[in-house]
Formats: sequence, C-alpha cells, structure tokens
Amino acid sequence: MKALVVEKSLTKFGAAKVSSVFKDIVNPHFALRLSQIPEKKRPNENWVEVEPILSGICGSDISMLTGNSSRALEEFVSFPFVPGHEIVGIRRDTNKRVVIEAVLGCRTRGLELCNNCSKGFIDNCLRLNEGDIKAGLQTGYCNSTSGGWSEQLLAHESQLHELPEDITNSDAVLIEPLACAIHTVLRTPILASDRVVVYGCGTLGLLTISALKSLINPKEIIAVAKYPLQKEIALRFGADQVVSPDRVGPSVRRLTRSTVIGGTLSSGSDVVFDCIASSSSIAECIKITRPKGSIVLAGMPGNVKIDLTFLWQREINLLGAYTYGNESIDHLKIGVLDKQSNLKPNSFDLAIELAPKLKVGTLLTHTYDLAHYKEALDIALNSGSKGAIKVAFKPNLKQRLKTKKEEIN
Amino acid sequence: MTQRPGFVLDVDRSTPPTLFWHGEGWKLEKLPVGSRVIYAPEPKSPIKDPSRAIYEALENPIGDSKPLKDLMFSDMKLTIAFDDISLPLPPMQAPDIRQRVIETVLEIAAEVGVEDVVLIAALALHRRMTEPELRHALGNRVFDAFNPHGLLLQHDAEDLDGLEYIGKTEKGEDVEISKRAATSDLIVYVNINLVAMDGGHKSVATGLASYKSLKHHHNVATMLASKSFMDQHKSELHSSNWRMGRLLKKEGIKIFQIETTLNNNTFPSQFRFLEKREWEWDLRDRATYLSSKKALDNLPSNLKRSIFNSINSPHKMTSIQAGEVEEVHKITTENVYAQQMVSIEGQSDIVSFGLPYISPYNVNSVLNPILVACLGLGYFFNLYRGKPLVREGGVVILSHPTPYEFNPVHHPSYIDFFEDVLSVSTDPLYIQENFEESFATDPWYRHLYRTGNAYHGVHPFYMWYWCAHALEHVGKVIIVGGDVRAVKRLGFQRASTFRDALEMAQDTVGSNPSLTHFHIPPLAIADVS
Repeated sequence: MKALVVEKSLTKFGAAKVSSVFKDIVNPHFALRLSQIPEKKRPNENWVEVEPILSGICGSDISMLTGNSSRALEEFVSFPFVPGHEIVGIRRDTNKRVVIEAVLGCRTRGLELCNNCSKGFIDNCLRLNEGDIKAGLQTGYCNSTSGGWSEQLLAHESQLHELPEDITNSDAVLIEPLACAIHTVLRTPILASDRVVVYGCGTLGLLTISALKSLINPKEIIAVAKYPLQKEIALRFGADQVVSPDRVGPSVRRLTRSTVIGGTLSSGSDVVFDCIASSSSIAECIKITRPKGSIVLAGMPGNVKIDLTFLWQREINLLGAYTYGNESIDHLKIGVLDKQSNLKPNSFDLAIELAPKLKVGTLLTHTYDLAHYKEALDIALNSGSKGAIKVAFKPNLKQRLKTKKEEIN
Repeated sequence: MTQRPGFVLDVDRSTPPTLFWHGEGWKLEKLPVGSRVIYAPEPKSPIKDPSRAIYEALENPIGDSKPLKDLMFSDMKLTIAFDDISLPLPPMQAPDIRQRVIETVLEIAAEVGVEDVVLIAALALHRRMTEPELRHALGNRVFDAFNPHGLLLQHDAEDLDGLEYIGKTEKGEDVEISKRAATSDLIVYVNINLVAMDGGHKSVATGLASYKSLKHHHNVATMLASKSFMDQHKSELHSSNWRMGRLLKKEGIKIFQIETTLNNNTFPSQFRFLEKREWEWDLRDRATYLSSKKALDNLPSNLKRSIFNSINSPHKMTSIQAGEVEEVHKITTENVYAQQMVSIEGQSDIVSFGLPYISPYNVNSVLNPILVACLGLGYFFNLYRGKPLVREGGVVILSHPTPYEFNPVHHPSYIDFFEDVLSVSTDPLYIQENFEESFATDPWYRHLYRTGNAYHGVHPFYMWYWCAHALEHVGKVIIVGGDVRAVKRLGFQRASTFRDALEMAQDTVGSNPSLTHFHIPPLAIADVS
C-alpha cells in the first residue's frame, strides 16, 4: 500500500528544522517519504483494518516534521511510523464509516487498565509503550498501527466510533480536533461572566472558540488571529471580537478596564487558551491573564524560554490540555452543558454530537492525494498566509470513488 | 503699509504652480485652468505698544463690567485661567501674549493687595502642558513665582473633588467646572483668539469643564448642527456654550474676559514664501523653496518633525478687548474676521487643502491619522461662513503623508481608537453610541490624562465628531500621498498624485469639475455666498 512514512533520522529532522526557517520556500518534507509498504497485520481479533477517506494534517504533525517539537516524546513513538491521527475511514469488516479516537491507551494495548484509563482519562494513560503494540502516543505515531496518511491502518475496536449517516466526511475529519478543543475548554472552570481569550486561530483555535461558544457561552470571547480568513471564521464561530496579535494586550486592557504596570495589566482575562504555545505566545498570555486566572496550553509546546516572574507573582494557573477523554463532572455542571444532561461526559462523544451542529467541516479548505504530499504540507505549514485552515489527505482512491458514487446516487 | 485683503485667483495658463502644504514639507501643484485659489489676507499691522494696549483694555472694559482693578479687593480669591498649548499655532515667539496679559493682571492684583491668586491652564480634556511649554506661555517670572508654591494648576476634568456642579441649563445641559474657579470671587480668563471659534463663553464653559459637562456639546448631533463653528450664530456648539456661560453668570460666577487677536504673520522670515502668492515669489523665495524642499525630502521624518516643532511664529497682537464675555467676544470676532475673511462666490465640486504639520492637538508631537482627518475635515472644511466651499456631494482632496504613527505619550487612546474603533466603523454616530463611554471612563486613560501628558480617553472621539459635518456633506475624501493602510482605515481614498486625485474625484462629481484650493495656512475664513 501507499503510505507516507517517517523514519528516525536525525539528519532528516535536522534538515527539516533548518528548512522550516525558510518555510515560504521549502517544504517540511525532508523527514517524510512516500513509500510502498506492506499492509499492517492485526495483532489480534480486537483490531480492525480501516481505509482512511480523509486524514487531516495537524499542527503537531507539522511541528514534528519540521523538527520543532521536543524530543521528549521520542520514548512514546515507534519508528518508522505513518503519521495521521485525524481520521475518517471505512472499516473493512463491516464497510461502515468510522472516526478513530486516536489515543492508544491501556485498552488498545490489551493491558489491565491503569489508574487513569480506568476512569476514562485515556489522555493520561500511564502505559503508552507496553502491551500488544509498539510504543505510540496515538495512532499516527505508532509503528504497529500505521496512520491516516496511508491507504490502510489498524484500529482497536475501542477506538472506533461509527458515524451517523448525516455527518459529512468533512465534519467527520474534524471530530478528533474538535474533541481536543472540547477537552481544552473543559480543562478549567469558566463562568458565564468570564472574559476569555483564544490566542491563535488555526484549526484548534477556531474549534476552541466554537466549543466555548456552544458549551459555555462566556461573557466575551476575544480571538487573536493573524489572517483575514481566520478572523472571518472566528467571528462566525462565536468570537465577540477578533484582534491581531499586536493588539491583544491593549484590547484586553480596555475590556477589563485595567491599568498598566510594568508591561502587565492590573487585571486581565479570566481564562486564556493558548492555541500556539510558543515562547512568545505564552509570554503574551501571561501578560493578559488576570491574577489567579488560568492559561490553558492547547497547542503543543516544545522547548520554550519564558520569564515566569509574573506567572508566579500573579499566581496564574498554567494548564496543559492534551487530546480528550472523560471530563471532570465539576466542569460539566456549568453553562449550557448543565441543560444538556443527555450528553455524555466524554469529549470525543461530545465532538461527534456537536460536529455537524457546529458545521466544523467548513474548516476543511484543502485536500490532496498522498502523491501531492509536498504541496499539502507546504499549504499546511503556511496555512494562514495561504488562506487555508485544515488541510487533509484523501489517501484512498477506492474509497473516494465509492463516496463519489454514493453522492451521485 | 496697508494690508492687502484676501484674494481669489482664477487659474489660467500663465498661473505658476500652487504651493501645497504636505505635512512636514510642501510641494507645488499645477492646478487645472479654471480652478480657484483662495489666499488669506496679508497680516494686519500689529499694535505698536502691546503693554500699553493691555493695560488700557483692562482699565476700559467693554460691556457691563467695571475696570479690572475695581473688581479686585485685597482678601479676594482670584483665579486667572489661560488658554493651553493648543493656541496659538505655531506657538508664538516669546514673549507670548498670555505672559504679557497675565503679568499685567498680576501687577494690578498686587497693587490692590490680592494675595490668594491661582493660575489655571484651561486644558478641558487636552493633555497637561510640560514645564517648558508653561514657561513659554507664561514667562519664567510668572512660572517661578507660582509653580513652586502649587499655585499654577492645570485643569483636571477628572478630579471629582476639584469640580463644582453648577446646575443645568434650560436645555438640561449639566454645567460643572473647576471648583477653584467656581468658588473664586473673580475668574480672569486670558484668551488667544486664533480663529473665530475661540473664546466667548466657550473659554470657561469648555476650558474649565468636566466630561459630564462637555459631552453636552462635544457630540455628533451638535457638530452636525454647527454650520460652521466659525459662525457663532449658526453653531450649536456655541449656542450650548452660551447657555452654559449664561448659567454661570446667573449663578453668580464672575468672569472678566480678556480676548486677544493675532495677525496672519505665521511663519518666520526665512519661510516668507509660505505667506506669499506664488507669482510674487522673487529669486530668494524660489531658491528657499527649492533648497528647503530638497533638504526636507531627504531628511528622516523624526528630524523633520523636530525642525518644524522648533518653529515659533512671529504672530503679533492686533487687538485686545476685556470685560463682559459676550460683548468682548463680539468685537473679537469682528477683529478675527477682519484679518481672515475672504469673500467667495459660489461653491465648487472639489475643494483641496494642503495640510501642514501642526494642528491644535499635536503641538510638539505627531499629526497622527485621526488628527489629519480632523485638521482637514474638522478645521479646514469648517473655515467658512455661509456655505461650505464644496457643494453637497462634492469631493475633498487633502494632501498629507498621513503616517501610520502615534505619539503614545500624548495620544494613547488615539491608538486604541484607531485600531479597535475605526476598524469596526467610521460612522460618528455609531461610534459615539457604541464606544464613547468605555473610552471616556477608562481608568488607564484617566490615569494618563491626570498624571502624564496624555489627552483624555474620549478625545479621539471628539476629533472624529469634528469631521461629522464634512463626512455628512461630501461624497468622497481623497488623501494625496497618504499612507495606504492609514487612509484606508479612515475610510477615505488614497491617491499617489494630485492629478490622480482629480481623476478619482470625477467618479463622484463628473467630468470637468470645478476646483477650489484653499491656500492655508496662514489662516483664512471663506465667506461663501
């Protein structure tokens, strides 16, 4: 089968890192190659073969391919692997459409459930490099399972969510990132009276805005966006105000009626979602968060260098938000969720429920065959400036033809 | 030598190119044949002995007022208020008129034995003046006598303890002014009346007022009902101030008004070509123009700015009148008109202005884009009596580089207004309804206004409201040579050259439009019939 494969090569990652500095002219494809590889064999009967229809390119994929992500997670990755963890596909045994909950927790590994997995907190699984399959945080980082950027992959039964017919493939491929956004939003209590900043309006930022609006509906959502399309969608998804990165400080100051002391605000935003998580974005988020407020790192941070003086002095909570899973009941008792008791307290389930309602598929702006992966990655790397939001591969010609036929019928 | 009156030139083939101010510089434009160019009257002869004239004015008041000396008594509370840095423009060569007048007032007070004397810079919502600026306006002697003892104040419209609520006018307008002034036995207000809008009841009712009071006439409805600010009888801005001033009088607040007028001698002799009509330029004028233009074109903007900010005008006093506010102001207005009025027949399809580097609100600072709009559409457009120079639906062409640049010390709320308000709407009424209050009551702007040298948070709104009449009247505004992003944010169009601007105007006013160029400064008022 055809697949885009990442091999462990310091030279290639190094070259990618160097090339990413000149991202407007060089693609981050050095660490990736298009190969013919054997289809993956199921470790046991709990695994299912899946043919991806669409598989998104995530910010974390780009970060990994450009050598900008931290090497701290290398122990949780098995090389060579096929990336792609935002997947809508067809399971071969039933021919049903599914989305894949990509996290590879204890259940997928055939292990007794760890303390976290037993509570449904699969995002915090403690045994990511044990069991029936090789190490891997998620599908898309594991040698045993393959990933969405291929014509075939393996998924554990527990990872699969059969899709209702009324969900389009575009909506479906955004379910996994939407689940991340919902989890992000539920990481910290937010009151209806709160002012919230969403810093960064790539896919995750925009989905965070949408999740915030639909689940919490806080008093004010301020989106920080660089590019016109991002600004337009941020408003459509529920932001009350969209500002450029250089204007976020003054805007938050004005909205919170703060004064300025030594470059920080006397008050600030109650909660800030940093959907970029770079040194500069985290530093800016600290400046605009009120004392005892919270910053949630939704983007994937790497090695960052930040002056944390004001995080300390202002007693700001800095929280991580990784993938999805069962959510804290306390957080679910707030806002709109309180009135929707039929919804399950699991962010992935919530994402499946909400994806069509929120029309998240509108974020899918570009799709490519695997053969055009260089072009796809180039667009994904420079998505904002090139008018793109979510870029995805459509790896399976067979599935595409089938979908087309169904559409015609 | 008698002054020549204002002049309207009909451009023909032999007319030399016309000088346009262009920020911190200038250029020559060849205007289409048939265009009109309005030139200000030449400077009136100044008063030969200003000190004597001041003394005589205080001794011989106008209207229902005793001489200043007779209004004073030894244990009285005397407040002397004076115009701030916004007047005159450019700042005048020392000694400033304010210094001369205040020194005379203080001499009289000393003769009477008045000890409780306080000076107040009538800032309204303008920025606080710096020490050098105060020294320039008042002279070192006055400054050193009052400032070290805390007797030289700058009006603080946000000092709740320092304000006195007087009451409401018959139209429900709140009147609230400086407590020190309101509780004084006498307020002496020292004006420099550069244009007809200045002075009268506006001096105290605006200069010493709070936001609560000012907002009754500094709003869009008032601006739209003022046609123009230079014609008191057709200016709702003045009507409101007059109602307030009369309430002050009714409530027993005594004001001794001193108003002074200046001649049109605006620029130092080395720049005399700026005040001359181009066909009268001699060899020296041409050489000065060419050499200064070449030098300015090659200088960085901050250096150009510092050069222009160092210019002190050779303005000279042409009249002084003192006494009762309204009677004084009538004569002042006549004197301003006598210096500045030019009669014009009929409106034109297009009016053009070359905007200089300075406006009342950027002395020693940057003419930011909001102030560019205000100078062109708020001030220059309103320099008329009768009808605007441009017909309804016509086009205004402004020439200015309009840099995307702000002075963060002087204009902090301007930056946020430009970025966060004008990016949402340029409609003055929408802006007033949706944004004004949050800026006006913002604690950070308030802090900077009270303790730094910042204009009040609401000030950029007022600048935009000044433009409301023009924005309602004209069909298009074009800025020649403006920064693309800044002009777009203002909601105007940008042209690279004056010729391009004329072509763009034709979309609005049709082919072969009539054009009037208002050749200011030096300042003039167009009396349009």
